[in-house]
Amino acid sequence: MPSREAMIEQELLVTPRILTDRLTVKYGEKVAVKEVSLSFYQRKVAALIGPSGCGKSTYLRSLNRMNDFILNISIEGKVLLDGQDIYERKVDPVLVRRHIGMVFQKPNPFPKTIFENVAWGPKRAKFPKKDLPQLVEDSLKQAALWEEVKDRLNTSALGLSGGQQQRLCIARAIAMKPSVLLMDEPCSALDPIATSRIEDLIQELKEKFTIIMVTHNMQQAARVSDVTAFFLHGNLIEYGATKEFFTRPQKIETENYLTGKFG
Amino acid sequence: MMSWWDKVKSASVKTAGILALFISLLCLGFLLWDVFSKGWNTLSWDFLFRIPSRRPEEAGIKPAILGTLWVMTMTTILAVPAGILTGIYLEEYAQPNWFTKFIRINIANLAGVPSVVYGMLGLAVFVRTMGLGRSVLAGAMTMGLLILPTIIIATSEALKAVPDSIRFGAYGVGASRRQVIWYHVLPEALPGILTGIILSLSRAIGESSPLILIGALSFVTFAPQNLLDGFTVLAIQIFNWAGRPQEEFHHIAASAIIVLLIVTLSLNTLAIFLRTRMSRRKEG
Repeated sequence: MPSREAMIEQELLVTPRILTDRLTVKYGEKVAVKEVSLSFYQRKVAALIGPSGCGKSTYLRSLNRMNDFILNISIEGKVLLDGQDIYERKVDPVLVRRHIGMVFQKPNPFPKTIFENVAWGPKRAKFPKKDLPQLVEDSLKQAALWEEVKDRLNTSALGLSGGQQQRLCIARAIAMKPSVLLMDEPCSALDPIATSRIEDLIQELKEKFTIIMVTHNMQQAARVSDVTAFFLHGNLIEYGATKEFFTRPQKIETENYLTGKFG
Repeated sequence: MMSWWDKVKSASVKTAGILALFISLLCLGFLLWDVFSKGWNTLSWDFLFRIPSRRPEEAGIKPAILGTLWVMTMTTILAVPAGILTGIYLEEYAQPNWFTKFIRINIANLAGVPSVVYGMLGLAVFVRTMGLGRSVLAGAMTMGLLILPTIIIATSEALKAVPDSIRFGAYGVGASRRQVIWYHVLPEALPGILTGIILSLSRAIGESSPLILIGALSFVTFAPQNLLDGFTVLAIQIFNWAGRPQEEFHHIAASAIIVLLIVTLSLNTLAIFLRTRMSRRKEG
């Protein structure tokens, strides 16, 4: 008889953590994402790829209601986080964003100390103050940044290098203990060495979080993701296990994109 | 290779620019020389603590200094919170539709309205209709209206300069709009807002026409005791003395101008200091 925890684990692997059901996003009249249905599972890294303007970033930002800030945007369909539609009227977008963390394209640490950067979110969520130092340490360790910054937690985060800043942003996101982590081209502003550190980190983090990342870089998608989705003109063209996806694409558009016929 | 004609053109623009610069520096220099040569000898610590008198050698600016302090303090209390809150509302909360656009344009226009017009408004509304009389309160409300548009504009510009990436970063960890504004946007914008406030206050200190229009007194031998007392301010005191026939009064007017100049220049220096500190922090 497996333990209760093991059963829950098993359950999470077969039940999607977050899914979209015919999600359509429009900017005014222009359709940016068209009826996309996708499911994302625990302990899996999903990569969203496609040419610029294909709707992959818009789709990603719809998953934690980051698009709420854009004027004239309209969203149809459903986004279910553990079975709950995050666009339902009674749902507070602020709480949604506590469960679904986000890392942005350009590192955007707060102009505050390293400690404050990680501790700020949990403080707003009424995290007990006396446990904050431990939480900050754990989060920085998980983000593989602790060794580099442990002696200067009270210095400005703006003094860190770009790669360190991005790992700090990851620490800031995981300090909220989200169930899903969204990453919008997290390495596009970083050099190759910093990029490979973030990629390694993603491999470690997927043990704890469902990770969905947008990337421009197909090699990166092939390296770090378990499943890949290909977007084109707002449509989801193909979705599948990364290995299959890159070796035997099912659709002609995917093959053309992967072989560099357009980009 | 520049042709000789291009060289002439570029040289003449340069010369004209230098000339213009010298003309304005010369005017400023002459003004300062005039003021200091007349007013320096009559300026003393005593001068600051005496009350006005019919005899220029016994006259001082104590009531004017205290009146200025009263009016400026009340102006700050009335205009600064309202100005900052309006700026925050316009920038962070209001939907950008035709109505807010209309309001923005009008606020920008109000900032350019001559101060004497505010004096007329103050006279009609605060002094007469509201029955406040020629009081500190009426003066402060008039001055408050005068600098309100400038404070609103400074606040909105400072808020606009805060990068969205900071806002999104904070929203991304589950912050509410109020928390994002209070903990991230305002602290970043604060040096800019303060700079705008200080500059508008230093402008208001030198204003005399709106206060003359609402009938502020020009010969005052007492400091205001409460908000409904009559008052005078430095600028009016200067205006009054400068208009007298006796040469000696012109000298003490110049002394009062030196005091006023020192006050406004220190305020401007503070504003520059805040601004450079802000830009240094952005780079660091």
